[in-house]
Amino acid sequence: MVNFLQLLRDQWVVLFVPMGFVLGCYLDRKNDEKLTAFRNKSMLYKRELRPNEEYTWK
Amino acid sequence: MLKIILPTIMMLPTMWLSKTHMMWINTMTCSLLISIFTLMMLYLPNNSCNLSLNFFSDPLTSPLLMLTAWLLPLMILATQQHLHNNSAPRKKLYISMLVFLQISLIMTFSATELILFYILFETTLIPTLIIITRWGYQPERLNAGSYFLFYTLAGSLPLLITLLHYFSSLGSLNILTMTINTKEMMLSWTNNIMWLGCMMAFMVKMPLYGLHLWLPKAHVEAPIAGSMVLAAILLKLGSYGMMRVTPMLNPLTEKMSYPFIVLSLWGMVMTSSICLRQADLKSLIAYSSVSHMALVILAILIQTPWSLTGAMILMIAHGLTSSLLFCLANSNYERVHSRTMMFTRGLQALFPLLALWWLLANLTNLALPPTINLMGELLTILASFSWSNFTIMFTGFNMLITALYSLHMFTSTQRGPLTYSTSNVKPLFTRENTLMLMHMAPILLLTLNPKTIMCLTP
Amino acid sequence: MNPLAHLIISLTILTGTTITILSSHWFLAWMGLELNMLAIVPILAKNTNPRSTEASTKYFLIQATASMILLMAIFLNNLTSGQWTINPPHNQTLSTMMLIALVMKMGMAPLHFWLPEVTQGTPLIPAMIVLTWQKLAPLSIMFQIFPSTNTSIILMISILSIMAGSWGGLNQTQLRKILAYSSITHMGWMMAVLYYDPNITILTLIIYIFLTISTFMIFYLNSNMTTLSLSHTWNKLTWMMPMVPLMMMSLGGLPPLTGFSPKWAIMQELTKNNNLIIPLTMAMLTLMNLYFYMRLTYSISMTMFPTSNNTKINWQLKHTKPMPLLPPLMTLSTLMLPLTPLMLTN
Repeated sequence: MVNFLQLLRDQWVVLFVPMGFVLGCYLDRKNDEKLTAFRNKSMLYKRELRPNEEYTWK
Repeated sequence: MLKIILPTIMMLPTMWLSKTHMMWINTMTCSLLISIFTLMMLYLPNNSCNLSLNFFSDPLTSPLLMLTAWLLPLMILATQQHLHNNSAPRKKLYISMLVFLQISLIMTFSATELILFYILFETTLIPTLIIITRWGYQPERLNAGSYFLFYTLAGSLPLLITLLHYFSSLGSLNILTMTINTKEMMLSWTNNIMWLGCMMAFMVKMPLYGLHLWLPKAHVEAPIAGSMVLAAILLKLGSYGMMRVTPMLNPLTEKMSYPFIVLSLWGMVMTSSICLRQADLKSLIAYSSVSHMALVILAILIQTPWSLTGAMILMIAHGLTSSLLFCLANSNYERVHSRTMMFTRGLQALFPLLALWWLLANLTNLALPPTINLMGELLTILASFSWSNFTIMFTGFNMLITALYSLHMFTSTQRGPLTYSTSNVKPLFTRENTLMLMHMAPILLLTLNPKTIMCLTP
Repeated sequence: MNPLAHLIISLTILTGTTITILSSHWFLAWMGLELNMLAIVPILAKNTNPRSTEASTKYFLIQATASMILLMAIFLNNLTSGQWTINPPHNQTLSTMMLIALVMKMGMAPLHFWLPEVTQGTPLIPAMIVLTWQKLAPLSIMFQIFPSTNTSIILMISILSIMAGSWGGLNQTQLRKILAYSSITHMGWMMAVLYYDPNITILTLIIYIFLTISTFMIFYLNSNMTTLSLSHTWNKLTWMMPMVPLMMMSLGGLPPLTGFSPKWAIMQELTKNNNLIIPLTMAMLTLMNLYFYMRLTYSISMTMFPTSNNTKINWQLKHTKPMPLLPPLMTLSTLMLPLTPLMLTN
């Protein structure tokens, strides 16, 4: 455990890139949601909504 | 796309904040991590394109993206010896140039808009220019840098004007909607010039025979990372751009492409013949990449599904192979301190393992059967054969000369008596063996499953 | 110079330009121009050596001639239209006359020969004022009379300026002359789009001023006058090394940097009006400008020693010329391209 903390203290810089990846994934997902929000409004991609499902584009 | 771009940007603080002795290890680890992230680009369920408003990826983009991301750790690995004299901030500056180049390349390959593509296409010039002119070896590097910059710019300014003109007549230059948005281009003087304006930028970048003079200069003067990225990726920007722009230019390409097809057929034989009489190792490899890219130009201009697939495979295969050849030339250079093949002869006796890498690299370069190089060349040559039977004269002859100069390169560097100057040289480092292996492994693995790089349709 | 006199002169320079920009009366605008010109002459002659006296005399003669032509055009305009309000004159000859006077004042081709000589004769800061602030007043008049001028003449002048600026600068080793030629080229770009969208002219002017001021500031830090002296920059300002090439490329208008945004806007505006050959010619000629900026870059930062040299440790000494404005200026002049859509909304 102590070793792990020591490692973290020495090598904290390598955390930037994974952090960037996680942040990027999050932002990409937000963006996907934004771009697909109107999907069930379109005639082409519309599907029947399940009983207690809301419209995404409200 | 942000999940690739953001980590790549994050490499900058990682590198600048790392301690000096950890710098290479940290950048290496992080860039390898990023190249693993890019494998996600291959997974495109329901044709989703990883779309955002500015960036997307499709089966044409993702292999090139993976190649770009894969090349960064290789460049970092290859430059360590070249930079060991420099002070730590300069090393970091050099690596930041490589990272900037990587960022702009990723964004170029995945831009959805042609003007954005153009801007980023030019952005890649700046870090490359700085790498060539700042860290090259001889004073001639300044000249080479100017050639590189001004050939590309003079070629691409007409492209900008043409794109702006299309923008004002079509209203959008989005690549995704290009096929439904364009008007048919009929044969007229204006359209012919437009076609030239669109294509010349990429022809200069590829480079087409006749517009290729900047390439050998840049390759000869550039430091190893510059040569690697130039051969492996920057030339592919040209072919990528051509593939992206041609849907806009239909059906004019059919008529307009004749002189360029002829020129590339002629040019590939010519440049291969030039290779036969080169004394300079790096220059030989540079001319060999001109000759390979001529095949790619031919394939893209014929525009059949087979030829486009062949072009795609050739692009990836040539990217890895020529980068490997430059690395090998660089390991020779770092030991013998000369690029002249006369002085680097007989190295097999000193470095048997390096001789193995040279053999493998040359065999992939001449497209030995199981490799993807052969697959790309076969697809391309067959497509061009069915376009016109006479092309086989040139393409076949070119394959022959390619084999000749590859073997010439191999025998003249590896066989023969040693020169006196090579008596006191360091052995091959593990770092260098790893570097060659990391080039060779993708080529061999892609041979097992070339579907990953040949799917123009998902 | 006496500080009080300096203050008064500087204020007069400011006032002159402001009067010209703000006035709607022809005579007042002319008076502002005169005020401005009279005030800058002592600034140009601040160093009491023959070279700067010559420069200030040249400047005075040229500006006075141009002012007289302008004044005559104004009087004739008053004679024909009977009013002093600044409107585009109805008479083609008069507007061409005004155009010629203003072109002479701004130092554009074919009346540009005085500009490199004058800038070369003065110290760096007055040269900077001549190349930036002194363009504002004539351009503001230009801005008001352009609808009645002949488009072909304007386009011809602008292309000639771009040619003169790019060819003239190729052969220079003196930094101030190079910047003067660069100014001629930039003025050409500004004029080219004036008829189509004057807002883009203003954008170009602003960005040009940013770029020129930051370049001059860098030169001023080391008192660089020639290309040769630039090669000592690494010794004094080590951290300027990676920045200066970017500045220079931005000045040359290489895409991801700020300098590209006015060029992009201008080319877009011209192609929108079905003008394809002219922007292409302009862009191609400007490549020569980029070439001589690249040459400066080579001597500043591309030919440093690979290892750090410890013989002259000037970079450890404290700077005597603090430049608090330089970092923001350099940021603005390299990284502003993504803001272009914001700047272009009318």
